Amino acid sequence: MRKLILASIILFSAAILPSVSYAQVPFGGFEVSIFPCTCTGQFLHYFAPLYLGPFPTAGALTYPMGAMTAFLFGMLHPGAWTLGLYTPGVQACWVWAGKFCFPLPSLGAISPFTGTSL
Amino acid sequence: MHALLLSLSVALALGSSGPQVMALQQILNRDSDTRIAYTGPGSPGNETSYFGQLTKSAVIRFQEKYTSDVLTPVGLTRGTGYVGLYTRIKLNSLSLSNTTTITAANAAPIASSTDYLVKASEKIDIYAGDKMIANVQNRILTAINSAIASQSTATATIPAITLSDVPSVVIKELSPRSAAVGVKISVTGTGISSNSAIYFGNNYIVRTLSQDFFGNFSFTVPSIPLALYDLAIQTSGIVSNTAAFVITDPKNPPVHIQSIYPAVIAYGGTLTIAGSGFTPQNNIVVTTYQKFPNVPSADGKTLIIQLSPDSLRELAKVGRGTDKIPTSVYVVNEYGFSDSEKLFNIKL
Repeated sequence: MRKLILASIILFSAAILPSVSYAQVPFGGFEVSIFPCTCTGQFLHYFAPLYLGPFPTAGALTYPMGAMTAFLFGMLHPGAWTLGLYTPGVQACWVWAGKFCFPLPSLGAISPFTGTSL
Repeated sequence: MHALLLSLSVALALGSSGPQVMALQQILNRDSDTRIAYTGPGSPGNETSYFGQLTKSAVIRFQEKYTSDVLTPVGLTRGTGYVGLYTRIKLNSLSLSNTTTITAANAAPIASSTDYLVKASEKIDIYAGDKMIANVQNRILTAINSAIASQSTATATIPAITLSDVPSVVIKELSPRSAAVGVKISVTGTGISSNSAIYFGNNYIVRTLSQDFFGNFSFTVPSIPLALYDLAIQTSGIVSNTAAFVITDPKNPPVHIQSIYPAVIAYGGTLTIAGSGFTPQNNIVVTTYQKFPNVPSADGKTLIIQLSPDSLRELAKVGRGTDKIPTSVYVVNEYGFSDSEKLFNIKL
């Protein structure tokens, strides 16, 4: 049990604290679903299509809950088209499951300066 | 140009079906006092060929609005919902009128144009794209909820989502999202071309998209009943997601959210929205996790909803009391979209 708690703390730390400064990359996509990461204080946004480059794909990106400001409210509605910057490969979405947190895979973290179509 | 709707020639009643019923609904929908429904089947653009309870209720309102023409000649004082001779005469006279004979203060002054009616060969399911997206949402949510229920520390396995799971035609943005007849609307998205058509509900269509020098598309709001519509774009047989659009009457007040209460709400709790421009029936309250159609407002200033979204149900079972999930809310009705959104927190 103690090992599990210790492992969880280490994993949270790795998830919450980005240790490396990554370049931000433009993205755009249609948001099909949103889910709260109740352990790490973000939202996980599923986009399909998702444009991370010239060719569309599908996938999820995180966005910090605390960064919600007036012009971002549209991001909290599936059906919005979102444009902005994201940092690839950092942060995961951790969700509380009663005894532990478990991770949901993410392609990266959205910059707080992102906007939407709503 | 005004509608040349099918003339009503046979008696209609609860249970009737066929093109005459659809024509009846289209005539009734021209007046907000006798509108079949504001959203869904029977609403403007979504008239059906079945005479159900909503149609009967609308007919009764019509008969009682024109009592002297419809009921008095047959010795009645209350509407019956039966579309007999005098009711048909009145309906046909309004249908064929080129003038604004509908006199309610908020009645739709513009008649349906045959140019914008969907032909039999053009009929589609405008919600086909939404259904694809809903299927993806359900798959994601089912996977996450299973992971929560299993209380595993392992990474949740989210089903692979491919581009073939969602429509290749997508509406990104309509700007503005509400406007009067004749206003030019910019539309952006993917898979849109000069061959695309825009559907207003299932029954009205704009077949011509304009494209400017920079390749941007736009259309002009058609002269169809003033109402809240679900818009979908079809390109080469592919149907997009829908986006809400309101054809407004300039006389209507703006929709405004003044405040919401409480700021933090428990799962299953009640949220009160205070503001103005809410309609007596059929306000749509859209929150991040749950959409509420047909919310009434007795005073035009208050809306009340109970929040228990399916997508947070499993989280609510295991939720920690300190978790507050930011959630956004806005309102749309036949008057338009609320001029702002408000943020509150769901406490798990």
